[in-house]
Amino acid sequence: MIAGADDQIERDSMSEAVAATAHDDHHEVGFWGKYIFSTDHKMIAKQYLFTGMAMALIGGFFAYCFRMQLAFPGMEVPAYGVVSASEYNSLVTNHGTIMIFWVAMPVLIAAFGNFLIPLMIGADDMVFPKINRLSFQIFLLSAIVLLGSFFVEGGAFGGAWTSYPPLSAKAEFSLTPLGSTLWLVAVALEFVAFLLGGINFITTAMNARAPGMRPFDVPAVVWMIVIASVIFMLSVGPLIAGAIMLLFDQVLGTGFYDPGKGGDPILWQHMFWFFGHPEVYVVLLPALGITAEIIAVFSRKSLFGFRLIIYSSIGIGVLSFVVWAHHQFIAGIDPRMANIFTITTLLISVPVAEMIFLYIGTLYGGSIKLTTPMLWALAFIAEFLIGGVTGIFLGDSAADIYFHDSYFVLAHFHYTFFPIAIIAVFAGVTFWFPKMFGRMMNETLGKIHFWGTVIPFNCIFLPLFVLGLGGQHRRIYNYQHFPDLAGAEFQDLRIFATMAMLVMLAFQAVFLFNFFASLRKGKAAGRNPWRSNTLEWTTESPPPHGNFGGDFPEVYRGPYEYSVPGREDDYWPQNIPG
Amino acid sequence: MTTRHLLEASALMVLGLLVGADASEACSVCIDPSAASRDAFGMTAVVLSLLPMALVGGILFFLRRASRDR
Amino acid sequence: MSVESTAIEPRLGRDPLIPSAVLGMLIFVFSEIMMFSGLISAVTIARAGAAEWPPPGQARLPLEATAFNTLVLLASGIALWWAARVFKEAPSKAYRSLLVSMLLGAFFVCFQGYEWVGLLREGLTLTSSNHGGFFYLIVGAHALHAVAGLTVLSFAFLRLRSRRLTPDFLAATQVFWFFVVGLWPFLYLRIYL
Repeated sequence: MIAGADDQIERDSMSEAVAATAHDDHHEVGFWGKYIFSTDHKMIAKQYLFTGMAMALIGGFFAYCFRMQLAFPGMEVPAYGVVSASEYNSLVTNHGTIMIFWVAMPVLIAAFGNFLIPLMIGADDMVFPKINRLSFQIFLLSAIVLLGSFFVEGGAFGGAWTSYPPLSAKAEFSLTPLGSTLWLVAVALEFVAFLLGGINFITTAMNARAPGMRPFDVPAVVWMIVIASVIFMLSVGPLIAGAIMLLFDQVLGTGFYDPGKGGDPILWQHMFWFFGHPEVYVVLLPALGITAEIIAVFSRKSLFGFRLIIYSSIGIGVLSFVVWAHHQFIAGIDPRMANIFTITTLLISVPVAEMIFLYIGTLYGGSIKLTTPMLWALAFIAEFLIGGVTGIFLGDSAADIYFHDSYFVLAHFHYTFFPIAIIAVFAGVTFWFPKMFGRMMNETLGKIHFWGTVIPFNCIFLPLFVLGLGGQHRRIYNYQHFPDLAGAEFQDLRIFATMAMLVMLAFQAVFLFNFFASLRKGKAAGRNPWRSNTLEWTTESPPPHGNFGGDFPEVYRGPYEYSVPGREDDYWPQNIPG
Repeated sequence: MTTRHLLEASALMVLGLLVGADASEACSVCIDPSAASRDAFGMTAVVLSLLPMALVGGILFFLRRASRDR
Repeated sequence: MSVESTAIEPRLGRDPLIPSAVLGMLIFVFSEIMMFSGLISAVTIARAGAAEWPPPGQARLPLEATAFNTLVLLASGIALWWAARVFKEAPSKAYRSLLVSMLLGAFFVCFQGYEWVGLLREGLTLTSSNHGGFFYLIVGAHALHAVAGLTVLSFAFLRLRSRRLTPDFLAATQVFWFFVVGLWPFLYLRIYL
């Protein structure tokens, strides 16, 4: 933070100098300064976005490998080879870790947060640009450490993304002496990266808003990214503490989690889930924010109950700190605690459901345009609803005894995480692509990709609910070893899910083609292709260094004034007076 | 429903939770740690859960006061 | 740069209630507080689960000497508070109390190190029991923060000498050092007593 204070002072004088001289002495920076060591929030956002996309492909490839093994046990998987039992564990573990920590977090929080917060509040950059750059560099290092763990002796860590001791604490149990340590180090580095990022997001949104911008003139997505950052900052501490203790157990031979030495393995779950559950809301809130923006723009209506949406997300933030022990219902926790956490878990579905109703209320009576981003946003609501509703059953401590660690749980959280980390991200990328790169994406290809992703997604995970209710346990290498689970009625569903996954993966090629082709040859976007109100659309696409070319906007109204009666245009940008 | 009814209902619920918890201990997967250890888990859960709200609440209180003074 | 920056008045609406450096430091300190409360929770649970704490045959921690050291650290915090108060009136006069705060903090760290050497000699190590493990982990984590805090303080001191110390920087330094000072009594209560 010392650097932070420094940074701040330097930046303050810089930005004012820039404002005063209005950019006439803007010097050119080389390739390294522009793309690798940039402190520009837009470039850092793109770095996070592309790293996240690359990691998503890797995580998807892992899913492909182990789904093939489940559908066709022992088969030589094309492009990988035979999946051994320990490799299966590593693949499953790192699929989960990558998708949550290296895809959902960097893209939803870091990429969209970095890109949108300064633009939407009318600032020239983050408050601490150098800390922002450091954040990405640490993040990149963490990704390299994680991927590097696949190439060390013993292979990558295979003790599941929750990394429960004693399995994870001792090399003789996990069989990955180096892999499990590297996994922990990578996760810890990643948290440091997002701590630095979160400090920036909160401080920037609090202190660098455009003149005249009152709290409820800030768009919903900025609100939600900031609330998510606050949740992250306050929940990550105990996990870092727990991770240091686990690292000590692994490397130095202490016994914090070893019952033989007076430790307690439940302690890790206590600390892990204190972070682990708020983390769900950390990634959910930005996704809800992105869809809120898109739904308001393409319904040409004011966001219904904007203030209530913000209050609900604050409510989600508060409640998210008191639901975490529902992950441990069968770990042997105090039944009194289980009772209370059942109630809070069911309670948190109230504000979430309320927000979904408000989004539907926004759609009601609007002049809806089914563009690609809008389709993604609508799909987010529909699919997330299934994930939320199935969560109610799991939140009940009595029912959870039977559902725990079954494929029902797996299908449930994929129905929440897939909409969050994939559907909402596609919504955001297709919506802000014109602003990020100055060109439009192809709508036809976008819609083909949309249907080619959403239909197979349901075909993958709906069968898994059925399998879970049939008693199929998670994290098993080969179900043919279990007579109860080896029957054709189960195996057919597994093969169906795997086939649907292959179709879905194939359709991602359409997106990649569309993305890179539009990057080079797309139609020029202009400043405001969607005719939207928020401040980022008032500048050029892509925005220049300093965002507003020295001509900083002032704010006169809220962000959702669409179809105002008596006004010629059906939108009313925040910076237009009168 | 008046505030009083609400209070009575919540008090009953909390009481029910504390009494009913003994019945739910019959579950087959619940191990039996010492009472002291159980209470320690409960206490730390309460502290950890409420501390973030206290911290954010403190800052919001300060901001409110500061903006009123301005 | 600074000459230019005084040329234009701060734009309306960008007059923050909490300066950015202080706010950023506060958020960082909040997550640190959560980390330490995680560690304190862990030691609380370990103590509750143990039949006897500290475990038999393990060295006892020096209660009185550390109580004295706690007072030294608290005095260092008070000295910094005084320095910041004086700084507001006359920046050049804050020189001495800032130095006192630094020296008291440095004394605290050195005295802790001296105690560690004694405890190690008595056979209390990281792996000798969970008692030792938690002691070195938590007190060590605090010591690292104290060293980091001292580094920040000496930066502030050097800046004060070259007259480049801004109020925001001093306030951010204060937030961090008060965190280090204020945390210690809790650790003393949970680990030593």
